[in-house]
Amino acid sequence: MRDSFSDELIALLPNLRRFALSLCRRGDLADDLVQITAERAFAARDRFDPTTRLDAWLFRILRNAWIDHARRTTTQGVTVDIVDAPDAAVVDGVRDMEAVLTLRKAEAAIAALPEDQREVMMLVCVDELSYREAAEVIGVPIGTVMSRLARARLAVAAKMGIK
Amino acid sequence: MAIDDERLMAYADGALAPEDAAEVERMIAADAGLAAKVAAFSDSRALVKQALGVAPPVPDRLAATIRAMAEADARRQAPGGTAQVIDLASRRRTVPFWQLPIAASVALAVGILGGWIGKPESGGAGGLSVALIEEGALVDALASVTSGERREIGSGVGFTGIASFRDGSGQLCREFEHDRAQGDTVVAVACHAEAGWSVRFAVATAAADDAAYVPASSLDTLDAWLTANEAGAPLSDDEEAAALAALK
Repeated sequence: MRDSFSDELIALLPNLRRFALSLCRRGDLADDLVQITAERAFAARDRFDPTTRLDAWLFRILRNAWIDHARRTTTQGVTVDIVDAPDAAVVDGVRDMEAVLTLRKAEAAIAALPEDQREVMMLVCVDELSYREAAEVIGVPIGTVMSRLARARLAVAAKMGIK
Repeated sequence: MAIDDERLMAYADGALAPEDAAEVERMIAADAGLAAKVAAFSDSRALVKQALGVAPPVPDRLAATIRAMAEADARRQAPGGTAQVIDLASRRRTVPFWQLPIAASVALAVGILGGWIGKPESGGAGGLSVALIEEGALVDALASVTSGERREIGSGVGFTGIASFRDGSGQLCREFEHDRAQGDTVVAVACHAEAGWSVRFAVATAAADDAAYVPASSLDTLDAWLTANEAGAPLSDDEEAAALAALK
């Protein structure tokens, strides 16, 4: 029988994969990162503090796996070109094409952010972690999270013509 | 009084204490520019959530793999379950793409498991000399090279810190690679106990032609070892620095 830890982890797989995609931008690598994260999470589940958010704990494991990968492959040269963009906007026919275009533009603006800004954007604005939780995932002071996030949001707002 | 972007953003996110928020509100009321900026923070958040809020579906194969892990985990958690047994079949996974170009296999499971480093009785020949590393240099490197850093620790011998973590018993362990200009790369884990550092795991891999990274099969072996030893998540840079400092 599975327990709530497993059930919650499985329920969070889409979120984990989305975060992985935002880090590495490749579907195949994102899948690997999610799998490594799950392996490490099950192996270390006794160390999860159930009074905290499971997603934040898993994001941290995933991010570390990504850093490990990046370290191993520094000599290879990184090939980042295919954006496996989440298919966020599901449309019925041509209903509200303009809204779809706006969202595509927003995706592009987010994709264009520096990696350190993009990850805080994902953690706070998409996965709705608090500034402090995001700081713990990344391992930086809360002030750093806030300044990266503010810059990221102003940059996206500027690209979208929000004044 | 000036107000910085972070504070305006925190206000837009409802993350300020009530008295702080009231103060920010007074400033916004007096300055249309500030109000516009708060709107930019709110709108950008809403837009990002809308654009990326729906996560793409997880590929079936990945979901199935992880459900299998959950089942294996449930068997371990069950009373009288096989807590010490690694279900290798459930752990086996497709080779990550970044490891595909190398067809090399594990050339040698080095017989240095359990060899204490730096203890005289372990002897130069029985210890890490298999890996052709001078022991003192290795001990120094374990204590000082941070993960992600590569350092020359002998003629043509490199030490690259990969990660630090704690095993199931709480010992500090370091995963590292060492390489020689010609020859094998060894990926190894050393853990620190009261007696000093000991190599707990090592596999040598056939050298790649042009890239100093380790073939997939070695990493699978390593993964199995990490799981069997209940390795925790890698420490952050700060945690690693603190853990290494604590050894001194």
